[in-house]
Parts: sequence; C-alpha cells; structure tokens
Amino acid sequence: MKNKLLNFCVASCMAFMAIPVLAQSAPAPDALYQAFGEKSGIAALMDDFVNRVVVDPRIGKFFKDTNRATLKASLTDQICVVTGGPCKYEGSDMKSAHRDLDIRKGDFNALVELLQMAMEARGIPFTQQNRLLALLAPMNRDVITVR
Amino acid sequence: MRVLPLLFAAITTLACGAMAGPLQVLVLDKEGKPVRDAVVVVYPDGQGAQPVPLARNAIIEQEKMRFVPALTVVPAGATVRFTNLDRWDHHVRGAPGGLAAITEPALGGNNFEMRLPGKIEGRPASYTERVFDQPGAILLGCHLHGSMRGHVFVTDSAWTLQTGADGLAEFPQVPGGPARLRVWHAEQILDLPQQILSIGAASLRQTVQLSVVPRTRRM
Repeated sequence: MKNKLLNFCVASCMAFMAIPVLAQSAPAPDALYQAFGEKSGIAALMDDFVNRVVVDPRIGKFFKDTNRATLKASLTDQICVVTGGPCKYEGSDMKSAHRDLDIRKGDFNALVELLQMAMEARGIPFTQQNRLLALLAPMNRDVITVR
Repeated sequence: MRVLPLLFAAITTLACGAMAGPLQVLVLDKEGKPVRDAVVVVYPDGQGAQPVPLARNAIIEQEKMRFVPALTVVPAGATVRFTNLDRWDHHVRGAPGGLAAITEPALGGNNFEMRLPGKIEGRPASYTERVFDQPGAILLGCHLHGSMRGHVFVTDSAWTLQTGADGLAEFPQVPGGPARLRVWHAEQILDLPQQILSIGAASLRQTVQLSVVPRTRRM
C-alpha cells in the first residue's frame, strides 16, 4: 500500500515536472502520429472536430466568417506536425491568429472539450488523447486574449 | 497708415468671400477618450484655400493575419495595391461598410474579391491593384481568415484627414464661409449627423463625440 502511494507520488510529481518541459514544445511521444491514424486519420478527426466547433453555441461565433475547408486543412497540418508526423505547417502562429478575437479561458476549454468528443468518437485511446492535449495545452497563453 | 492693412484685408475678403482659416477637429469616443483612425471630411461651400493633397496611391499589406494599415483613406479614382506578405494565401473581399450595404445597394462597384497567393521565401510578394472610383467606406475581409478586418475610405472631398492617436485632424487652411463636417469611424455604424461650421480667419476647434467606444487592436 505504501509502495503504491509512493509510486503515485512519483508519477504525479513527474507529471508536474513534465509541464514546463512540454511548454517548450517537447517532441511528441513515439508513435503518437500512428495512434492518430497518420495524416488521413488526423484529417478525418479535424473534419469532425471543425464541424462540431462551428455549430457550438459557445464558440461557433468565432468561426462564422472562416473558410471551413481551409481551417480543416490547416489544423490537419498543425496536428500532424505536433504529433510528430512528416508534414509542414504553413499557417499563422497562434498569437497572430487569435489576437483580434476576444477569447476567454472558457472558450479555450470549450474547444478542448469538443476535441475530446471528436477523439472519443474516433475511438482514440484515452492515453493518446491526453498526450495530444498535453502538447496543445501550452498554446492557451497565445490563444486566450481576454484574461 | 495703420488703416491700410485693415483696408487691404477688407478688400481681400470682399474679393474672395470669407477668409480662409485653420480648422482642428477632435474626435472623442463615448467615454471622452481620443479616437484614432476616424475620418474627418469637410465640404466647404467657398473656394480659395488649397487642400493638403491626398496620396493618389496606397499600399495595404496582409501581414500576420492583418490588413496593415487597418484604415486607408484615398480620393476617388485612387489605385490601391494589396500585397500579401504571409506565407499562406489570403482573400481580399471588399464590401460597402456599415449600413451602406443595405441602404445604398447601388454602391455595387465597391464589391470585389480577389485571392493572393502566399509569399514564397526569397521571391517577391504577390500583389493585385484595384482602382477605387466610387466614394464610400469599404470593409475589407478575408474569406479564409474570418478575424481579418480592414477599411478603405474613398472620399469625395479634397478636405479629408484621418485622426492620429491624439484624436486630432488638423487642416492648415479651409476656405472661408459655411462648411459641412462629416466624421466617420468603422465602428460608428449609424453615421453621426453632419455639422455646419462657419470658417473664418480665426482658428476653429470643433469636437465630435462618437456614440461608441471603438475597440483597440491588440499588438
């Protein structure tokens, strides 16, 4: 029992220590790109994800004038790169892309929730879901414009 | 002898109508703070003084997901060049700004759309030029990136200035006599009523207050 508790402590300490490291864009864990079904899997995920986002009552408004196909393609490239895939992301940096929008923490969280639902719908294992979210989480600093 | 300059002034006044004079317009927001990027347009009845000429050509760059500058003021007939400095494609979509899209559908000439390819490293940026013949405010947007906003204000008066960070538009000389004053701002959707000024030799300072508080661009 004591051992288990110790293990838990070590694991959670490591998890906390890992955050600042991840914040400096750590490399993706091995095989994350494969776990997401490579580029075609990511494209399918982003298709479903963007379709959920644009109709969401909380954050759909931010995308009403955005070209969906371009957004899907751009996000696919970005997630492909983040997960360690052989893609090139040519889009904007996150700060420039969001600075003219009034985005609050709640909006960011709503988007994360929709991404989780889309990943769930595609049957991506929970561990892999969390790995991706951990890689994306540091972006909140550039995406959230209203604090 | 002292009467002579006065007499001379009187004769000049009779000859040219009222004396031209400087005009300073201060634009404030609803809370009383100075507003930058408001357009101040003066329509003088009289003639005489020469306006500070407006640039016939302008460049609007698409850089880091923005139209730079956010507002461009040109006279009717001016050529504007749109240059894409981003690595990805941008649309430039123009449509009459504010309520004009509903109230003045005849301003169809200000509807346009073009696509500019993204910049490739080491090569010159792509651009397109467009002539703006119809006066009015034009809202610029990008179909691909919905957060992008910009404006072109095509003016029909040579007496047109854009306010600076201090909210001021300063005309060194406006022809004397009555003049109409119009103030436009992108976020002042309902146009403010125009004012009638009386321009004379003495410097005139007019304050115009918007009914909105425009948001400022984040850096």
